[in-house]
Amino acid sequence: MRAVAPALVASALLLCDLAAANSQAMTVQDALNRAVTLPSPPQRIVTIFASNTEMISALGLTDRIVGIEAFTRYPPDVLSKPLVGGRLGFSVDAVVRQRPDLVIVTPARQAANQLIDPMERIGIPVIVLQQGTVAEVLANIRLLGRATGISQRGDDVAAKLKARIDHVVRRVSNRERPRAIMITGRIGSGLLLVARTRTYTGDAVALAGARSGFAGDGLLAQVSPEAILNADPDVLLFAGNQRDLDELISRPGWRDLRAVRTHRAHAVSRAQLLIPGPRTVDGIEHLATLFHPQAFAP
Amino acid sequence: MKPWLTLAVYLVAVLAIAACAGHDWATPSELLRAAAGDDSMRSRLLVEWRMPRVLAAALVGALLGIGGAVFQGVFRNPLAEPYLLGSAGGAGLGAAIALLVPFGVPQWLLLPLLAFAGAWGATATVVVVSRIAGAVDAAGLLLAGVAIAAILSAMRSFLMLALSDETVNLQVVLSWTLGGIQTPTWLGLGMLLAVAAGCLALTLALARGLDLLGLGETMATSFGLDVRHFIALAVLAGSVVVAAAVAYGGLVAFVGLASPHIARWLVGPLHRPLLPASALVGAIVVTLADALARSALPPAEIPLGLITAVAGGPFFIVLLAQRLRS
Amino acid sequence: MTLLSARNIGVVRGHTTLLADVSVDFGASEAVAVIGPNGSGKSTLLKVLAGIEAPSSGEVRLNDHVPARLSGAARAKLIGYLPQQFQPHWDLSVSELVRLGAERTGPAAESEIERAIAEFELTPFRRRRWSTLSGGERARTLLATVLSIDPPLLLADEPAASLDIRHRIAVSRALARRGKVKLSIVVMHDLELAFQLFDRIVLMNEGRIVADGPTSEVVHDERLDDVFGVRFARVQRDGAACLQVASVKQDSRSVN
Repeated sequence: MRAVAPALVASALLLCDLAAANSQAMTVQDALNRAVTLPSPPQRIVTIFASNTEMISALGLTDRIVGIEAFTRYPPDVLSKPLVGGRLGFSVDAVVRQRPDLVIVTPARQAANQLIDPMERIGIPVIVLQQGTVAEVLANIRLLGRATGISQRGDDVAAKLKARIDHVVRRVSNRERPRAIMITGRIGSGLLLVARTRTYTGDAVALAGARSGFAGDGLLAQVSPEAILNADPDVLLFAGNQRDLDELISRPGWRDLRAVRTHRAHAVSRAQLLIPGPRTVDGIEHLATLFHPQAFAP
Repeated sequence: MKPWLTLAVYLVAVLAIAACAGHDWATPSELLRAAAGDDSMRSRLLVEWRMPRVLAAALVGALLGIGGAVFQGVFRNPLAEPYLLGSAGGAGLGAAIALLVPFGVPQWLLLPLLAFAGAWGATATVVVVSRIAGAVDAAGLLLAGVAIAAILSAMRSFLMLALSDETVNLQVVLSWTLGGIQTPTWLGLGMLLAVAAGCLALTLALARGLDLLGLGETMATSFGLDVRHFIALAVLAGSVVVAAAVAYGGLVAFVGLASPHIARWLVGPLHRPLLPASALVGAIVVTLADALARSALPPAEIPLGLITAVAGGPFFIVLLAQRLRS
Repeated sequence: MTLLSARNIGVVRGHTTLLADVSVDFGASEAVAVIGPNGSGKSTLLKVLAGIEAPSSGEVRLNDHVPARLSGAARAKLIGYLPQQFQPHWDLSVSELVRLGAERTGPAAESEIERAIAEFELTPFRRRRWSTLSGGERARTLLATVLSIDPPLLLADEPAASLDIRHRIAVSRALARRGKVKLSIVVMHDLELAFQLFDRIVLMNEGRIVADGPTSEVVHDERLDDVFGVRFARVQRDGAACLQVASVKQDSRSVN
């Protein structure tokens, strides 16, 4: 009779162990409040949009990626992966051909419209990610870590990035914040797209130690050049190449901007500031050196 | 009998081809395996995604064919097409609202509902406006239609500018405008089938009146038709059909214009055979166009409306030339 | 027995008076020709009698019904109307057209449609489409279509105007002959034929009825010359008086 008790305990422990092994199943809550259940850590991941690809790569899971789309350019070793979409949309057939067990998508362009419903119907788990602040970008990295069964690594990657951000924030605190406007694009009619404060790009600008050159966010992301000239920011940022920036500031009116006269009009990297992923932190660090050169002087 | 048999055979063939078509062409055996209940991812793709899509395309095409025939019959003009009288503008506005304004309702329900309401509402407005202006004849309706369409288009453009942002941007609304089948669930497909059958029955009831209208308004009146009343009724019925098509397929160009003509060549101009024949022709055309849209340019899906327009343009020109020559 | 009566019919469109105080009665079987210069109101009168246009004042009664207030189907059963111009928008075949006419008051048996087609010698053409028919064949098709249900009242508006002489005579004769058993009121431009074929003449000018009576009396009425601005000769033919143009008066009234 006495041998029964240890046997019971042993089998209980064994069962717990088995249960633990089988509880690889993970349920996460995505940006649309959908509960997404992954029965086991996904091995074949389709990442739609550069941000999601880069986050998966940052977790060290590049080799689990089986499909990307034409907008993704980084890291270099994903470029050979099969394409499932591009400018003209996203192909359900192409996604299914890769037999993925996870699809990660952001609701930009038509990705959400074209993919969420079919994936659900076919039974492929889809995680939708959104980010309005840099903190949410880090949270997404942690979420993806959990979803792929490596929550520890996800937390580590996010923590390292957070440390770098905190470092920047400390260096620029107590310094006067310049007024900055970032141009993110141009519309044919002459209107300009700007980064608004309620986006991760605007948040990055704030974390790097500047404040918005506009009084508040407008209804539309597009503003007339006049609005920028009126605002006359201390720093003018242009997400694009130097040549386009030079062309823009050589126009009448622009030459007299404070930022142009004091040589504080800078071209900044689109990849760093317009992709809500790990490279955003690189962007924050770069922006901080532009806003507060003295704080980062060698 | 022969034209009906031809149409039926074409439809079945086209449905089979379309079911196979895609970026990843399926073989007939794969189709059969999927239909038999195979549970692989590929079979689920075929059964849960592609089949409903193909059948929805056929039904949308049928609705466009019926709507086009009704509008051509009412306006007695072979160049009439179903998006006259504001239904395109109204549907576009409804769809823009559904896609851009965050309601609590799921989109698979909201989008068709608002597109339908917009399309039919716009045409009803046109009829009311013409009534008020005292001009419920072909010319009056068309003029009111042009005005209403312009207003609706402007409203939609403003909504698109004001409400789109990085997540739901202009491309989404634009792509809806260019036409594309909203793949329904099997339940939704059943509803669409019921709607299509209902529309056919509704318009068949108008067949005799449309025939009489074709004799000229004076003759139609002397044959006992209340012309003003009938035109208003037929326009409203026709726009129900068009609104249903738009709700499930967006704005698909030229099918509503071309299908009745092709049908007329096959079964003649009387509306009792014309309406179902036009439905079959429309079904064949859209199913084929959708198959092309899904398979021509991997990994992209070409908007359905673009394909029908690109094919429709030349057809339109041929039609015009024929008309001028006769 | 009066089948059709019009009382004090006035039609005003905008500032123009098309008909002024027109009153006329018709019996159940008459062959009536309505004549008059352009703009005299003949077509308008016909449309009012047919219930296709509503008069601004006055009343039409057909068998004690007011045609404008009848349901479409009931009116179609009683009144047949042949328009001045007819061009179907769609290229229907002869039998399809006749069928539309025959079925306008309810389902029609195949035999009735065949009978109508045969009556106007259209049987060899029954499958031919409108665009392939000659003028004469088209006229006969239109007649077959409208007369396929044999309504008690037939109103025809210059139906033979564009045909050549042979067909004009044939169509006018058919319409007049109908007046032996039904009421047939035909607007005629060809005065010779009108006076030769019809039993009663109604002469209109400037929206009013100027003369109305049996052909044998009206033929001698001098107002014919005034109204048309032409000097007519009355000649005897086949025992009856007929109208012939003698000369054109040199008179300002003849210039319109």
